Amino acid sequence: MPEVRGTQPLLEGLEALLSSDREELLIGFGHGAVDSDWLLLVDGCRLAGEHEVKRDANGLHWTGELTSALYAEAKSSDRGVVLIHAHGGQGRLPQPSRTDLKTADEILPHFGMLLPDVPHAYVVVNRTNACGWMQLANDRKGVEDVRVSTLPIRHWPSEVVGEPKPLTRDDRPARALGSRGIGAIRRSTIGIVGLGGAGSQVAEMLAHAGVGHLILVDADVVKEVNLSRTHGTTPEAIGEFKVATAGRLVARISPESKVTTVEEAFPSRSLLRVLRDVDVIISCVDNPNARNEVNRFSLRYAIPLIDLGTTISEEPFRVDGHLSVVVPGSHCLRCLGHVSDVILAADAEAARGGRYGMSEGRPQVVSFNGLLASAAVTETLKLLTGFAGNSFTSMEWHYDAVGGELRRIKTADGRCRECSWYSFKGDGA
Amino acid sequence: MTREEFISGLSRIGNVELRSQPNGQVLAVLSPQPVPGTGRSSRVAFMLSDSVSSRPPAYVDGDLRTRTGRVPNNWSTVVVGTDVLGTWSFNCPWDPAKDTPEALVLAVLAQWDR
Repeated sequence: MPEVRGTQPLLEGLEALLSSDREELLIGFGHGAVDSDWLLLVDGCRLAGEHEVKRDANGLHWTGELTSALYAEAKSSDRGVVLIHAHGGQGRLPQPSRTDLKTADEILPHFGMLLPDVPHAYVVVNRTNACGWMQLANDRKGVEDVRVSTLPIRHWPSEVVGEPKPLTRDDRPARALGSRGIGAIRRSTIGIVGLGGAGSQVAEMLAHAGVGHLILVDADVVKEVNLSRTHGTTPEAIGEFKVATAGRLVARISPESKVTTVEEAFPSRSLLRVLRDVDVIISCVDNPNARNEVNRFSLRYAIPLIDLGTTISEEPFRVDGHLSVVVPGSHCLRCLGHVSDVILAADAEAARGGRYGMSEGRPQVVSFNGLLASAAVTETLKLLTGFAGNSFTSMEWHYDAVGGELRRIKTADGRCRECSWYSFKGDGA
Repeated sequence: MTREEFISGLSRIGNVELRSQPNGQVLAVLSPQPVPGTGRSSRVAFMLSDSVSSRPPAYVDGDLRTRTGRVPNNWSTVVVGTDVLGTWSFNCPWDPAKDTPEALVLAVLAQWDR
C-alpha cells in the first residue's frame, strides 16, 4: 500500500507539527521504492522556514521560492519530496481543506513531471491518522499509512482503527499490555527468516501472542536431525518444508492469524516484495551471507530487525549467543560485528573447501535457542506495543549459557560505512 | 587492465549498467545474454575495483539454473536494487593481461551448460 515511512527525524518533525500552536509545514525528502506498491522512505525533514512561506490571518501559504528550493534539494540527491501538515483531532481521519486539495493538485504533478523516477507525497495528519496522496510521474494514489520505524513503531493509517474485538484468549496479556497493545499485535505483520531451532520457537510464541500476520521464510525441508530442536516437527513431518510445519503449528495455536509461507532462501526477488512492508523482521538464519543480506534489506527499507543466534564451541566448552535489535537509523548488524568481511570470507572459504558453509553440521541444543527466542519475542512486543518506552538506538545482548548469564552489552560507538550507504535507499541501493 | 577498459570490453557485447558500491567498487551489470544449453538469458555482472588485476567476482541472475536444475554448491545470492543476483566461485584461468572481458563473460555463461 502507498506509504510514507521514516525514523527519528520524521517522528520529531511530526511531533513538532502536532504540538505547534500555529500552522506549520513539514518538508521531508526520501528515496523511493516503487517495485510493487509505492513507498517513500524519508531520511531527512525540517519545518519550512519563515523565509519560505507566507503567513496571514488564514494561516500558512505556499511561495514560488519554496517550490524552487524543494526542487533543487530533491534533484541534487535524487530524492522525492513529502509535504506534511497537521490538522487537529484524533480518532478520525483529518479532512483535507480546499487549500490542501488545490495545493496537492498543483504541487504533486509538478514534482511528478520534474522528478518522475521517485514518488512524492502530500499528507495531512492528526494525532492518530493521516490522509493524502502520492504521485509517481503521471500517476497518483492515496497514501494509506505514515509509519515511523522507531521503538515503538508508530502508524498513522488512512482508516480509523477501532479497538480489537475482545477475545477471551487475550484476557491475560491485555491486562499487561492493554487493549491498544493487543490491537497493535493483532494488526502487525512479522517476517521470520529461518525456521530452524530458533525461528520455530519464535513463530510458536508469536502465534500465542496473537500476531495478525506471520510471514515464514525458509527453503529447507525437515530432516531427522531437526527433530531434536525444531519446534513443531515430528517424525511424520520429515521431508516437508519447514515453513509448512511451522505454518501448521501457528494455524493450530492462533486460527485468527494469517500465515504466509515462502519456501525460498533469502534473498529472492519475490521475498523482497513480500517482506518490504512487514513491521519487524526476525532473522534466525544460520549463514553469514543471508544475515548480511537481511541486514542490508532492513536498512534499505527502514524495517526494525531482530537477529539472534548461538554458537557452541568446544575446548573449552562454551555456548555464546547474541540478540540484536536493530532500530532503523541506528547501528546495524555490521556495526555490531555480526557481519564483517572477515566472517563472509571465512564462510566463502569453508564453502570452497567442500562444506556448505560455516553453519553446516554445527552443534545445536534446543534449550540454548529457547532463551534467545523468548527474548526476541519480548523485543518484538516492545516494538509493537511500546510497553518499554521509546528508543532510537539499536540494542545488543550477549548470552552465556554455561555461565548462566544474559546481559545487555554496549553497542558500537560509530556506524559502519555500509549502513550509511544502504539506509533508507529503498530500491536504489 | 583498468576498470574503464574492462567496462569498455563489456560494452562491446551489450548495454552495461554501473552501480556504485559502499566499498568504492562498482558493479557492472551487462544486459541479458544467452546461456548455452538452457534456452534462457541472464545478466552477467562483475564487481570491479579501480584496477582489474585478477578475475573479478562474477554474478548472474539469481534464478538461473543449470540444465539439470541445479546451482553450484557454494552458490549465494545478493540483492542489487530490486533484483537478486547469484554468485559462486569457479575455476577460470582468466588473466587480464592476456584475456578480454568478452572471453570472461562467455566463460561465466558456459558454467551453466551442465
